[in-house]
Amino acid sequence: MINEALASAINVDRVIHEPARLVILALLANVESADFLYLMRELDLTRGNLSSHLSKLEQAGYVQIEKTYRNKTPLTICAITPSGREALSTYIVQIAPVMEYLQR
Amino acid sequence: MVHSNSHQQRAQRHWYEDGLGEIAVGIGLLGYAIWLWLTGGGADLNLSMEAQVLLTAALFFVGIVAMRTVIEWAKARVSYPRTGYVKLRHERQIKLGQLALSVALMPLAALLGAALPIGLIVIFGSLGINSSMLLLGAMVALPAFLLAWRIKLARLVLVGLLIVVVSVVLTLSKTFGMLGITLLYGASGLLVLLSGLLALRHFVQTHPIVEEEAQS
Repeated sequence: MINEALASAINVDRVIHEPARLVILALLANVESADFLYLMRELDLTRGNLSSHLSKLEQAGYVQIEKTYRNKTPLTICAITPSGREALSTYIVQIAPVMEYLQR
Repeated sequence: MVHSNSHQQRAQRHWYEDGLGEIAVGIGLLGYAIWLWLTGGGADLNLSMEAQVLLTAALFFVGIVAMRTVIEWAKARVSYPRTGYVKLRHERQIKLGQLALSVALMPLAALLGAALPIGLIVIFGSLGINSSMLLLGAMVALPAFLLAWRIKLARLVLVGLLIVVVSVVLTLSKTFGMLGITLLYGASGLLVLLSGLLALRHFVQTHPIVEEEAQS
């Protein structure tokens, strides 16, 4: 029989569980919105890597991406959605018991 | 609720990193000093005290609005292509009550800004103590100290300290009254402007513009 604390981690959201996507969501959860360049610099991710992870988060409905222009320069504005915020909170609740278990 | 002060602090710090805000504030303080020098705070224009206060409040309000617009315009051309754009979470909440807050607080702040220096001179003068420049210096330096503490930006501590030093020099040299106030605002404006220009130079040197295709 698996420990109850560990069992909660079995059902974590795999979209969020990936480290890069987790930090993207964590950052976006603390700001209103951020553009692609800001995320790339803050998280030290490559363009392709960030683009791929953002697409997955967008497909899951966790991130809203708006492509626009500023001074004729393409601009990609990203923001966390309410369901993304909720999914992140759920993930924290599910993963916290595992962390506590490991620290015992 | 997911919440991290350090992320928000980093985002706030990001806004001040380029020094453009300081440049705008420095120019604003210098402009105010020039206004004081040319008109004696409105007294030389033969205006009533009420009209002087209203005029100062109006100038202050227009200055704040113009400053915000100019900073965003400059950031869109200098900063965002280099380090990206981030909008802080509280900005939307502030926007909802922004007009009401501006209407309520701006005239009050302008009234205090105009009346307090004069009031301090009169009060301390009647007590035989002329520490008005020290108090005014502390008032001007306070926002720099508060901001430095809030976003952990060391250069603003230095700017605040230098403003306090200017007020001490003015007090020791017995430069009081309108001349003292004008010199204090002027020197503070120069210090803030210089700090902003140095920060901007460092920012531009250390952050090259990211190519267009790399932004999407």
